[in-house]
Amino acid sequence: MISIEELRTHDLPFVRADQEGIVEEVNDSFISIYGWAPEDIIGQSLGLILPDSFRDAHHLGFSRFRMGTGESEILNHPLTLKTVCKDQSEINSEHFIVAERHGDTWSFAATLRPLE
Amino acid sequence: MSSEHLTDQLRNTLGRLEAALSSVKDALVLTNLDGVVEWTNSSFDSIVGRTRLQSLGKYLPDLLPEHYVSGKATRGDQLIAQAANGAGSENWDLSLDPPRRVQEVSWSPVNLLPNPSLVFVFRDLSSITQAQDEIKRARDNLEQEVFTRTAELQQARDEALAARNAMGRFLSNISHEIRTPMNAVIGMTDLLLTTELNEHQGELVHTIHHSGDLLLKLINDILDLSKIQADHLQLRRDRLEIRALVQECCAILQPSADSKGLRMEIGVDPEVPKLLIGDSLRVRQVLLNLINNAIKFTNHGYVSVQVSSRCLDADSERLEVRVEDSGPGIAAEFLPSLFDAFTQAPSAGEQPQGSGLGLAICNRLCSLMGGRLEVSSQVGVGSRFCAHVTLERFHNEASTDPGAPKASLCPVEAPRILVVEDNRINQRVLELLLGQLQLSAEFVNDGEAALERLQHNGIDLVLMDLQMPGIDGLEATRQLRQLNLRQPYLVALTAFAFDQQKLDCQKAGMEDFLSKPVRLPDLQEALDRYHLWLQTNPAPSPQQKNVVTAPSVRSPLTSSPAT
Repeated sequence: MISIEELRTHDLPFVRADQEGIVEEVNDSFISIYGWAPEDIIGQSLGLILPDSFRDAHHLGFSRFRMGTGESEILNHPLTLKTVCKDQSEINSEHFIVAERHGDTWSFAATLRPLE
Repeated sequence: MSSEHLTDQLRNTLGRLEAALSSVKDALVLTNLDGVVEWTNSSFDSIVGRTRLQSLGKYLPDLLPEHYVSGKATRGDQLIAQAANGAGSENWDLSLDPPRRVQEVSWSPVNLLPNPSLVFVFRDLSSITQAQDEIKRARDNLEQEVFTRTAELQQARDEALAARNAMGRFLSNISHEIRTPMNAVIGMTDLLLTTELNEHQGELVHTIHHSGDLLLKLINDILDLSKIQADHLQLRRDRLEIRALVQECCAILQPSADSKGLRMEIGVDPEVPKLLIGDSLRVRQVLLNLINNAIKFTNHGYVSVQVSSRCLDADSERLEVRVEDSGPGIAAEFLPSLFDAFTQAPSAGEQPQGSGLGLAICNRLCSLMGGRLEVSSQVGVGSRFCAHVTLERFHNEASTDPGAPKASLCPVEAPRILVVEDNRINQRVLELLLGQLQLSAEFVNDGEAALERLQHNGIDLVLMDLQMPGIDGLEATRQLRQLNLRQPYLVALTAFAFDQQKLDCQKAGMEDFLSKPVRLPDLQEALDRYHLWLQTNPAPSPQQKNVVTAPSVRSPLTSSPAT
């Protein structure tokens, strides 16, 4: 299973969030490809970079994940999704999402490889 | 409450909601107003064969399987438009070929601003529909089976009725065919027995006469059974003197009992009313049959006839006749079929006697008279037959008295008789029988000749055969009754013995009815009735038509044929 640390070493757009889904970290690749400045995105919900039609499902799924055993269908394998840019355009991208538990809290991180 | 805590609570609520909605069996999907999928549950993922992430952001109709509504392929675009307009539902067939796969689709808009959405629920009705289809098929099959079976039963019933009617016609015809020559055999031997014969000749003629009687009885039994089975037997309402009837029957059979050395015991309970009303002929038939059987099958000991009765109500009396014998008895296993037609109890080392119709007829006659026939028997001890019949109580002797004694006859002139008969032998028999009564007659061969002769008057009494070539007896009677002349007294002669023939004769305008073969006593009685009629109809006017029999005269036209 790939760790957040390993994910961070990839030369791909990277984003990390806390257990509430609040963005805590993005890398330069993410900033340059998707146009978000750190001050735009850090401290905001991950929902900001998801298309509208994913937002409800994201919140519901995220909430359920936290109440469960930590298993999820979306973790640890590549997913083709869309990422919303700062200019609200959407870019097809391959997401690889991982989650790690540190004590009582969860951390989430993902690489978002653009496919266009 | 801190915002952190509140967020935790909201997360919990959302998580539970997600888990709950994903666990329901119905497939749920949420879209925006354009039909773009925003959320699905596990059941929906299963029916479209995609993960939620693969469905999110897709146009819902693009995810749904091909489907048909009322047999027509339906586009999903309509579904989104319908849902945006309001709640509704419809059933989708997922295939046009069996087995049916059916989904009930229901939808509703969720008008929450700023993001109104549409919710769709898909419920699998395949199992229910298939079960319903199975029930419908079973019902259709059952209906078809019932229809087919009903048709078969109707056909069987029609065939049985046709067979019964054919049998009735056959019996009627064969009865006629047999009775016509029997008329000659019995009539001629009757006459022959009045002549001087030597001992050998007498024995031969007696044998012929006895055999003729037996044959005639057999024909009458078959006709009786046939009439009862076809519901054609009409019971008469005669005045019945039970004691006299029992005495008469026992007297008739006493010689047979004497010849076998049997003791006859007769007892009539004092409570039995002196007079009752019923069919004397049929009661007599039952009595004679039971007593005759008892004598026939008993070789030593006794035959007992005991009669009792009890009042049922003000109008009816239940008569019970017990005929008991000390004969060989009947085996228990044979008793249940004893009253079946053409059945006789097997007697050790003896040939069956009779046709086996007697008890079957008695049983049916008792039923017809509102009662039943019962038997109990013990091998080596004897048998007991109990005939129960319901008879009317006799109330007022002064009222219209069925079967009142005949008025006394006054001497009258010999009637001028015309015999209408196409059969030369029968003409001769009648000529000889009338001769025995010191009467003579004119003879014609058919209805035309009869009408021709009757127009010249001078005839008082006509003996009219019914079956003749050309104008038959009934038609000749109808035409005669239309003529403006002095109407004679008409007596039908027929070898047919069904009540219907009597009714036809009465309708045609005949006064009386004689069944062939005509016996001398029957002819004498018919002449007696004619004389009685004369007393109440001394001079029929020329206009008088369809003359009816006087009430006091018992005409066979209102009763069963002589047997």
